[in-house]
Amino acid sequence: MSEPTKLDIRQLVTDHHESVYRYAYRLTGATADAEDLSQQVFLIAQTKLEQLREVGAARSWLFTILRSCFSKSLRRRQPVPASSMEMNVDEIAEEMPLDGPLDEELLQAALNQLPEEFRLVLLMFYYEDCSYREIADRLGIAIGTVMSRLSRGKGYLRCRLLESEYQDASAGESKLNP
Amino acid sequence: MNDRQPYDESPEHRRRIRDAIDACRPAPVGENIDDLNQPEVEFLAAHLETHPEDRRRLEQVQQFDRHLRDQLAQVPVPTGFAGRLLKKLDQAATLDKARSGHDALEEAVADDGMGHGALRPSTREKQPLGRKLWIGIAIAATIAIVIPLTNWLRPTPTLLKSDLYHAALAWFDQHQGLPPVVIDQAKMKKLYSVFPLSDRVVGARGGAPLSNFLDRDGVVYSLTSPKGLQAKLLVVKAGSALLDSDIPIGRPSEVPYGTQGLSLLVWREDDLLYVLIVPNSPTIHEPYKQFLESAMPIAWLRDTIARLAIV
Repeated sequence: MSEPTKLDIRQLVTDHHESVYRYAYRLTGATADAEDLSQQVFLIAQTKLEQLREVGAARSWLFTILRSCFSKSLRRRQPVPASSMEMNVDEIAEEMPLDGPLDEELLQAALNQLPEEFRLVLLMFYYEDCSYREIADRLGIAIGTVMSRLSRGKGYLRCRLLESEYQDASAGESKLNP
Repeated sequence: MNDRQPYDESPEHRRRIRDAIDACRPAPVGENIDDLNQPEVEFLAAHLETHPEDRRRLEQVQQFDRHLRDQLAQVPVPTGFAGRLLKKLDQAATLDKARSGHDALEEAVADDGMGHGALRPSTREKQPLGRKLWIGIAIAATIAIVIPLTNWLRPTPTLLKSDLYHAALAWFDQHQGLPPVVIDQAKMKKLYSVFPLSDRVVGARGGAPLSNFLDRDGVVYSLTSPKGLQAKLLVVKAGSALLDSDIPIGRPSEVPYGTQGLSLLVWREDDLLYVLIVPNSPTIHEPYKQFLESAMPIAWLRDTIARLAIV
């Protein structure tokens, strides 16, 4: 039987500080807040390191702490109603021209505009690669809610990000065809 | 002959199709529809066979998903971030050790000195005052030893000072000479209440919204000293990443940072970070004193500030 690998907080920082920071940045949308959140995650991890049984589960464990810290910080803020996402996903254009990478600033701005619970579900889906079932279990919500939030969140991002692609494309066309 | 199924255009049906398409992972079509249950997989597969426009939409959604997934992982990590994290963790560990040392000492005091653990209740009842006295003395002694020791063991942070200095310099370079931002008084009043002027400062003549200083928003106050020297006071929320132990609390540092005609004083009050920038100073030690009159009575200061048009 192989010995369990010794867990060391310094090693966790070395291995995972980048992925934790990136996740925190996508959630908070600001460098300083992302640093604060990441720092909070590792400080908690340091005090609860004995809870982590396997080195292989470290990333997921750190992300769980991160989500918990983020959710706690949300409770102190004013909730943003989902209706503030001014869009109707059914009206999104069927065509989605996308040649190159997405506009980074626009992407983060669109993420910031999403209500936090939508942003969290989106990042769990895209960044953590969680399944719907996992997202539902970890957030304690119904799987239908996950589906709906994800679909609306994705729709909103597509709407915001591809809107500019359309505008660029139309601007290019109008220049070519005066 | 068209073998297309009659198209159900009801909103419920469209939503079901849309949710099912969105549930497909950004992977080759059909390989990874793991978020759908079996009836939904069959429903979608049957639908896509007869509806090429939705199949195309699925491909486009997945293409978008791939781009999005790749791009979400592309966030530049600040230089030296891992080092700063490790430093914080070391500081926290040192404090924890100090605390556990204090706890151990308490336990030792509570022990009967013969390796039998805590004193029996009967003994404790017989000598309550003596035991409490000894515990009190031990705690006081521990605090007297531990606090200076942890301060002494704390590594000297230098990175934050230089970060602050560079951020202030960059901000000053960027905003020097720009016309003041016109903003309505109601909004400024709100900002003043969130980012109040420090009682330590005199000579204020107004404020403006501050954005993107250390990635934070706040207020920048314009100051004019009695001798006519101009300065700026930046006030932002100081998150824990900024609350380095080396930033003094409640009063400015004795010696300002900076050279080359720009001196910088930093201090904290509650959860706010105050950065006083005095430009064009021939020396770094003297001019800033014109803005700080800590010996003056606070009430007089408040009156002075009120007179100086801070609404």
